[in-house]
Amino acid sequence: MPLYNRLKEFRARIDVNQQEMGRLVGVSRQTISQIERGDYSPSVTLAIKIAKVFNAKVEDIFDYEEDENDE
Amino acid sequence: MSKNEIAAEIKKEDKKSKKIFYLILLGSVIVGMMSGFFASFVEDSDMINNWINTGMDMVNQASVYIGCITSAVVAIWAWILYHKSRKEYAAWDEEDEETMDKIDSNLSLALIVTNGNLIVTYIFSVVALAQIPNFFDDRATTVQKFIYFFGGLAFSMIVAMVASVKIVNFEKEMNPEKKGSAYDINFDKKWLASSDEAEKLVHYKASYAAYKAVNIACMILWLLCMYGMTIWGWDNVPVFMVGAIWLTSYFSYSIETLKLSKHTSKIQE
Repeated sequence: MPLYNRLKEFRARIDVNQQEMGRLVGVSRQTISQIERGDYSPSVTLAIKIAKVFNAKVEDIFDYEEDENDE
Repeated sequence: MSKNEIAAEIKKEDKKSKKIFYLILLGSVIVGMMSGFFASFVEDSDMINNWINTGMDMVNQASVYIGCITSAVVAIWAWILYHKSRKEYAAWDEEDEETMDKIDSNLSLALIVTNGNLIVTYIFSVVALAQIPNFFDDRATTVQKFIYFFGGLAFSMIVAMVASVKIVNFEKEMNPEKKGSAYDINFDKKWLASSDEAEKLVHYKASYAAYKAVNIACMILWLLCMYGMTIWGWDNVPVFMVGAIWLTSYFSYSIETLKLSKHTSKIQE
């Protein structure tokens, strides 16, 4: 289930590193790193918390595209 | 999907897997028959029994010293890894993911090996205890072997404890949100409670993998006990101990699954 994200881009806009980002949303640096690499899809709660940090909508940061096999 | 379509889908999936299942069953029967024949051959073979007895004697004699040797090697290796990680963390620029991933990986490895060494020492300590002669029969040998046995056991416990404290505290420096002291008897609970959703998922997946591994290990040990009892005259204790571990693993997993499915609010805790 490919969940694409622009977290790194948004993070760069407000100049915070992964550790600080983790602290802002209550997760570890490793989890932020995994989300940015696409290795982990955050829960709804975490996705909303991330979006709130940037005053953006969840769908501005995360996007889900249908896999060819799912069609 | 209608009920008929669901039933047809179930039948189709069963049909696909049944062939492989029956092949595995047949293969197991053939392997069982061949190993039974081989077991009777081993039972009657003086040469094989001598090899086994010689091997076991060597293990028994070495068991007294194993704890000391492995703990020393593990302690040196873990110390080098820990200090290397410390240097890398001190030089970290707060952005390089690879460095931090490498540090996390090295620290986890150090913890796994030091605690694994403790379990190995526990096992060999029991074997070693049986090798220590009666004090009044041979005082010098008894004292020497006891010192190695006790020293090895104590050393492995100290290595595991020091490694746990150092690594846990280092992890807490890198991740200030983590809670729990390695000295605390409830450390596991507090550490898990302070883990985020991704870290908890890793714990849960690893636990399930461990559960499956224990099931396979118990099956193998049960077979070994069967051969042990028929060929080498083992008594009932080994097979009952394997059974106890197997049943504990199976029922604790099944009952926890049942409880969580009834109280779904607890799933995300």
